[in-house]
Formats: sequence, structure tokens, C-alpha cells
Amino acid sequence: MTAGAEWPARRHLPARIRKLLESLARVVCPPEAAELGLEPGIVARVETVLAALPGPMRAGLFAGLAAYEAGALLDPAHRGKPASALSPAQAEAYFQRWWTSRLLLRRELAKNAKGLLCLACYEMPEMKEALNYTPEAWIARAKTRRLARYAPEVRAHEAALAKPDPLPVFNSQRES
Amino acid sequence: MTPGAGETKRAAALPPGVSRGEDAADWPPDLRRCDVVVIGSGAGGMTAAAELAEAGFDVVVVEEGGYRETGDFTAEPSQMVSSLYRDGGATMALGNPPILYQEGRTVGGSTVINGGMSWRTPERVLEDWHRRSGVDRIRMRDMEPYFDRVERRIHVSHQDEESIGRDSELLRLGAERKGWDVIPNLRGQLHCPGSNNCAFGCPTGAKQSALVSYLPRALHFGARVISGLRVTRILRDGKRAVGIEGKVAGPRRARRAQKLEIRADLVILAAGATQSPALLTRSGFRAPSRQLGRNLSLHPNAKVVAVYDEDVRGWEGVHQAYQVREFEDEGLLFAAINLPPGVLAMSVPRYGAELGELLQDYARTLVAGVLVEDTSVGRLLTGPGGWPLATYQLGDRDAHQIVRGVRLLCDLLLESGARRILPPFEGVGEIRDRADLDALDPRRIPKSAMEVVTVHLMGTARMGKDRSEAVCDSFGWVYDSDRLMICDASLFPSPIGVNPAETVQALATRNAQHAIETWTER
Repeated sequence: MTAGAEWPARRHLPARIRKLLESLARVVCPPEAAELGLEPGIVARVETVLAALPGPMRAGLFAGLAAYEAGALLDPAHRGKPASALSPAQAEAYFQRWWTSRLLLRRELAKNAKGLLCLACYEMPEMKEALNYTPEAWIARAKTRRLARYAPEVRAHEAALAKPDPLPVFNSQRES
Repeated sequence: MTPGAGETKRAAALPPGVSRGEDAADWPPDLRRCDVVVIGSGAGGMTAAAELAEAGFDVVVVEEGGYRETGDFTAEPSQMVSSLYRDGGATMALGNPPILYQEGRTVGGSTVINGGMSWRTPERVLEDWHRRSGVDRIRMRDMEPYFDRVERRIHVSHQDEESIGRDSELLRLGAERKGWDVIPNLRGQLHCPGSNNCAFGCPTGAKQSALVSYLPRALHFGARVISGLRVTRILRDGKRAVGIEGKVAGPRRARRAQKLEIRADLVILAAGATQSPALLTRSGFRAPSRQLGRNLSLHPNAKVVAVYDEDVRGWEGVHQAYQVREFEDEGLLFAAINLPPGVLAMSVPRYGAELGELLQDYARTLVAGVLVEDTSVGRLLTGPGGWPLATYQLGDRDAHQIVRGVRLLCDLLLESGARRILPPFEGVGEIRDRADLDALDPRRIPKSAMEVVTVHLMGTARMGKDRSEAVCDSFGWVYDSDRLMICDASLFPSPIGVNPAETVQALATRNAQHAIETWTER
């Protein structure tokens, strides 16, 4: 095995982005996630995905999140609070405005942030358990069953991969 | 393991013959000089490498991604996507609608993350390539030996009945009730027990990706593989390709300065339909036809989410056991696929409590897809820094076909007992009965409302007899260059309407044979 199953403790997200993502997780993920206190774990997984994105895309996403955070300040009803400090009801209403905005960039930001957070949310063991989604156990059983029933055939195929079977060579002329 | 995003620790061991780019200081000297250097280790590259190595050539395969093996693959999509997919799976063809596309970036290439579907190129397509593009030795009777050979190597076969899951059975049931043609899928697999995790690496080793088929064969016959080395350009001496220059892929600042060269008598380019044309452009190769990067096809596909009253448990069964071929003549294919809950949650247009309510039924959910053989063509541009930038405007005919395909698929799923279906179109509500199908009207759904994705990119360095219209000749030799061959889906003169992996492998075999036959002439 060449990679670890445990989640990396990468901590390269700026603190303000992490705080914002945790507050967004409380809006876009199902309520159970917040009830179980999963936001930090969700954001840790999001960090891993963000690290794999191309630099310009990551920079664009960060810029969009910064705009989202600061954009809340402009609403007088928020009394000078950024998005990450809004009450649950205000946060929900503010996100909804971006989600349904007529501006494509706002909608895309809301969609992408929601996508990343919800992907991570439903990978949390607690959420998978709640769905009765148990792929690891199934994979282990399937793997064992395959080898118990078909090991000789599997070995024969692997052995065949090392048997000589050269391509026949004909006379031909390159056409170009 | 080559370090990169999402990776946390180094590999314990690599198979003999596989080296890491970052360990270049420890490479044997002969790794920097070989007969053939192959760029890319996926369907085309690894197939060509194995054939050439068996023929006695000294072959080095260079792969940008890291080396992973069967034991590394898990049902954790975000971790797998971060380490197996190019750009974390977030690559996009720009246009209306923007189309998300995904490519493998790991030893074994996209074969590690595809579904293993393995179909011969349809005869009508081969005939068209022969007639319209003048491609030589491409008709079915010419190609059959290559298909046979590939199918033997990757064990193309139907699924064992015991491993077919309920999602595939429901698709078949719906098609049969409609009286539609539905066929067992052919996959490169050996007694796949059905964990439906293909897109994140096969955790059982049953899917015969290049990683477990052509790679061991190539290594057995003496090929060497370097992982974690990104090819920055093809080295030239005039029009002749003489090797590659690469950079160690990995943490940017630490590796920035580490450049490496490998010299070779023949360069085979198999980096896929986005990377291959970009690399040719970066290296200064210009097709006389000016067609390099043009003619991008991508088999747009759209997914629907259906909820049943019974358990489906899509993760317990093989991937795409059946394909509905009733509308094949129109360029439409349907299949059941499986999305893990995280990926499903990411892709449906819901959030919060509404999303939670939908996902409550995850075990009773079936995800199915429509694949469209497109007539639109896009273009692969080379952006700043030589990075590929795909553009693709979905044409009216293809947009119409996507809506039509989704409507037909929804009809099938209702027939098999679905009680609610979410179509992939923003602003279109749930489908709960046949009356709701009227909402799926191509005239009322704008392209911008369509959620379209793809994993099949083709045609950006097409082959053909006429150098004023094609980029490569009939055997993948790049026009107006010497000792430079392409072996990937960028060769396709047109989309093929079925999963392209076997076509790529058969063409790579055929092209490798041509390289062997003509070696002494070079």
C-alpha cells in the first residue's frame, strides 16, 4: 500500500477562510452535521481537495470567498458583521441570495462552495453511518469472495501477462 | 509515491522498473537514454510501451502522476480524486454550458479511474474514418486482430451474474418493459465482484486497468517507468524529436528547479486529448493543416437521480452491467452508474435540510446517465505557461439530444418503479409521473441550465491521409516531424459513440506495430 488512509493534518488555509468555511458548512450541510459538530472535520477534508486544484482556480475560489465574507458587511441588517459572524438565520438568508443571484459569478461561488463542503460532509464516518452506507465492509467481502472463488483463474491471467506473444511484423511503408 | 496534493506519506516500495522523478539522483545512467520514450502511461502509452518492450526496444515511460496500487484505492472520493485526477477533477471546458471533464493523472492514466467499459469501435465509425479521412488499414477487418489482442490482455468479458447490482437490474427491467434493446456491458475485468468504486481506483484489482495489465507486462519485458515527472517539452533537432525535457512534479517550490532530460530515438506521445496537443504546441511543432487542438469532441453526458421505494444500494454491484442501446443510431446510450453520497450531494442543486432529506434515501437511489455522440466540436487552446485550455460550445442538435436522452431515460426509470427523479437541468422540477415528462422539452431548457460532464475527450490531433486536413498520418506519425508518434484519443477523426478505451488501445497496438516495422527506415 502506498498511501495512508488517515486524513492529513494539512493546515495551509488562512484562518479567516477556515472560519468562513465552517460557518458555511452550517448553512449548506444537512443540520445533522452541525448537531454532530462535524464542521472542523469537513473543512479539513475540503483543504485536501483545495490543495489538488490548479493554482488559479484555488486563487479564484479564495477571492470569491473573501468577497462573500466582506459582502455581508454591506447589508445594513447585518450591523457590520462579516458572513462568518452572522446568526444562523442571517447566514441562511445571505447564502440564499448568492445561490439564486442573477450574477453568474455569485451563483458559481455558492455552487462550488456548497459542492466542496457537501462532498466532504458525506464522507464523514458519522454521516455515512447515518445513511447505512458501508462500502468498506462490502469491498472487503467482495474482495475475499473473488479470491476464494476465482484465485486459480486470477493467477493464470496474471501469469499470461508475462508470456511472450509478440506482434506479428509485416512489411509496410510509412505513408507520409 | 510521488508527492502531490492530497498525499500524506511516501511509498514503502515500488515495483522493480518503476522509479520516481524526485529520485533522479539515484537513477541508473541508462535511464536517461533509451530507444523509445513514451509520454503518458494510460490506455495508449502503456499499451504501446508493452508492445515495443516485447519487441526488444529499450522503453522508458514517463508519467506525471504518482504510482498507486490496488491496496491504495478506497471509497473516499475526495482523497482519491485529489491523488488520481488531474487538477483534483476540476478541469472545465469553457463554453455554454461549461463542461466539467476529468482525466486520470496517475500511473495507468485514465484507465485507473474509468469504468472499465471496453467496446470495439463501431464498424460504421471505422468505415467513416477510412472513407472521409482516408485512414489506411483502419477497416474492421484490419482492426480485428488488434481488438482481439487487447481484449485478451485485459480480459474483456461480461459480468458474472452474481455481481450484478440492483441498480443495473432496475435499468434492465425498465428497458425490457419499454421493449428497448438492452445489452450486457463488456468490460475489461476478471471476475469483478462489484464494488462500484471504479472511478476512484479498483480496490479489488478485478478491473484490468493498465496498472494491473499492460504495466506488469511492460515491466516484465524490460520497460522502465518514471512516475512524478511532468514533461515540459519534446526535445527537437530540427523536425526530429530526440527526447523529452521534464520537471519533477510535486511541491512546487521545492522542486521548481529540478529539470531532467531523457534522450530517445523515438518519442511516443500518449498524454491524452488535452495534454498531447498542448505539449506539441509548447515544443514548437506546428501542424501544416493548422488542425492541432481543433476538432475536440467529448461525448457530453448528463445524469439523473432516481429514488425508489426499494433498496438499491448502488455500491453493491458492478459498474454499468448493462447499456441501453435502443437509441444508438441517434447517438444515445444509457447506463446505471453509482455515485457515492458525497459526490451525489456535491452535484445535486440542493443544500441544507433539503439535501439531507434527499440523501436520507441514498440507499434507495439510482443514478443513471445519458451519453451523447456529439456533433459539436470544440478547441484546445494553449494558455499562459503552455497549459491547455479547452473550449466547447454545445451545439443545438447536441443540446436537443441531451434533453431527449434525459426524457427517454426518465421514462425508462419510471417504468422500473422510480417514484421521484431529479433531472440535470436547473429550473426543471422533479419528475414523479409521465405527465411531468412534458417539462423536459428541448425548446424550453436553455443550454445554460444543463449540468453536463464528460470523461471522453477526443480528436485534437486527428489522423488522416491528407496532411492539409489532419495532424497525424494513418499510423499516428505527426506530419512535418520525424520520429514522433501519437497513441491516444487525440488521433480520432470523429467521436465514436462508445467508450473509447479499447479503441485507444487497439490504435496504440497498431501504431506500435508500425513503428516496429518501419524502425530500420528511420
